[in-house]
Amino acid sequence: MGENFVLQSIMSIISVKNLTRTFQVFEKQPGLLASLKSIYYRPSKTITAVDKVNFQIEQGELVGFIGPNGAGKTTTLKCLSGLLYPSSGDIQVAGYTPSQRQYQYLRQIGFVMGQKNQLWWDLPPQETFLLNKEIYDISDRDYNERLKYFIDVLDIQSIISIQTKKLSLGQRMKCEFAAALLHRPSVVFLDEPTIGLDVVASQKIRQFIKKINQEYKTTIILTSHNMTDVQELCQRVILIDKGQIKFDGNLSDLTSRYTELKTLKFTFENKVKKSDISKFGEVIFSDGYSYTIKVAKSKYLKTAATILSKLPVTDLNIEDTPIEDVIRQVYTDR
Amino acid sequence: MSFAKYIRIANNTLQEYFVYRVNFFFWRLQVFVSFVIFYSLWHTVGQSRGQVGLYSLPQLYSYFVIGYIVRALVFTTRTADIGGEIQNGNLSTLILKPIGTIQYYFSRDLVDKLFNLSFMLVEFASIIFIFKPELVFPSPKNLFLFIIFILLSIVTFFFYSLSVSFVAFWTDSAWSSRFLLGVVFVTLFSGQYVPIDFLPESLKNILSYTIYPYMYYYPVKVWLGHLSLEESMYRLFIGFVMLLITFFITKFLWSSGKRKYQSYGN
Repeated sequence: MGENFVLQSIMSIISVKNLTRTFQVFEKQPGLLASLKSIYYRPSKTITAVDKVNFQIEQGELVGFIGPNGAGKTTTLKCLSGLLYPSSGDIQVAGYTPSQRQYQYLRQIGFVMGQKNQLWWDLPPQETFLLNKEIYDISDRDYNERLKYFIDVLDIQSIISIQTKKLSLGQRMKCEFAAALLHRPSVVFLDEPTIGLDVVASQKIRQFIKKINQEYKTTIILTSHNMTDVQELCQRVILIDKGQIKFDGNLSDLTSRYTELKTLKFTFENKVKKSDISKFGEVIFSDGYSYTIKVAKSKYLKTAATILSKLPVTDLNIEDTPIEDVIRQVYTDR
Repeated sequence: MSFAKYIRIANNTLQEYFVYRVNFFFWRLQVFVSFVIFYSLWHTVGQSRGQVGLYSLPQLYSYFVIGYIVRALVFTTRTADIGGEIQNGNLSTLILKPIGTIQYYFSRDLVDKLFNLSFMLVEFASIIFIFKPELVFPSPKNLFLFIIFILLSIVTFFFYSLSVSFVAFWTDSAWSSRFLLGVVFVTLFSGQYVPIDFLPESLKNILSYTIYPYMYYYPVKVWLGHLSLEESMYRLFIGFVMLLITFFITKFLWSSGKRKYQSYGN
């Protein structure tokens, strides 16, 4: 471990240096014959899920890990939390090495997995809350105060005494959050926290994550395929692909780095000919009265001004390229 | 170490049993029925011979009837769940908490034993009422040794069963190894269905160097008074060594298994 890394570890709540995680997987050809053959011969190969990744996260940051399926974001999250041992490299979270899973460390983290329950399936969520109270040595006063807070913010009063298995996914996720945050961890890992949730439930969860981050300066690291989560929550994104970091910075920087275009949306008072618009940029939508065009970033202001001065514009919107398109662009460039 | 969390785990586990009370009832029913079948079989053998090997009829009946209590105390466990939890990744939520995983399962096991024991007492009364077997009772000295042996067996079987479940860290499916090592070997080689005395001498010798007879056969033999004080103390000592070996194997499998754990499923 170098001196720089030690210094960064002191300054940042999370420091990752040259993190690599490999998995050995067995290969099998399709069919019965191949199954028989696999009894005495099973070829295997090593897959590098995370490859020499480096980054630091400061206290109170809300960072989004984004990437396609199999990119390595969940593996990174599992290494950060201590679920997986790194194959090589160093990780420091809140001054601890996560894979050692020391109790002092585990008291400082919370983990919500969109596809795993920590709530006892056959019992009401409040039984899990009471268990966590004992596990994390939460005093009666703190427990009552925090539970009241979660009940108010997440609106879960009516469901905490119903068997977990009888709750809807959205209700369950709210209770999962309450269970994971009762001990007020300083670092929270969220793996696909809104997966499978409807628009209303997702929004509620996002508001809650934002509130916790702002009120308690909780450091939050989340993975999500839902770009609304990332756009609404994360000031900083780490884009990971094939186990390597392709981008680490502000979401707006990601957009400007990977897109050369702006989207202009016009609505006109009268019907306008397509040929009058297409000379300014690529038309991607038109119905005669409304047009959407893509224009080079270097000249979008001039283009907008020209159209405003020459045509009867009643409404104009200038937008960045949607984040989904930006990310698609990044992956197609690889 | 705070015990409050383990008491709460026991509390939650107990509540789970009340949710699945019908399932538990049928589980106990199958244990009872299988006992009745085996007891009837040995009863028939005993009636036709008067004495079977070293066993008088009351001793033969006691071997199985007292063994019924031993089975409920020693061989009931929740550690069988762990294999599945390792393979579907559900262990993740547990190992990220400041709680001892082994202590967590021991708390659950104790509740499992308590619940089984409460049902077993009713069943035991039914067995006495239906079969009216003539039983032998131990001297106070043997009763004391029997209790010590049973406590030892409970802990030994817990670690043994835990280590069998930990095989799931290295295999794609833990079901077959669990069935062979945790069910077949335990039931056959501990003497639950056939007293070890009735096995060939060579097999009996080999088994005396394994963990299995120390969890059922020798404790029941102490109850029956078949072992001298020296022999009882010697078997207790070997049983204790078996416990230590099993404990260290479990610790080793757990510490290396944690490194292998891949937290599948998310």
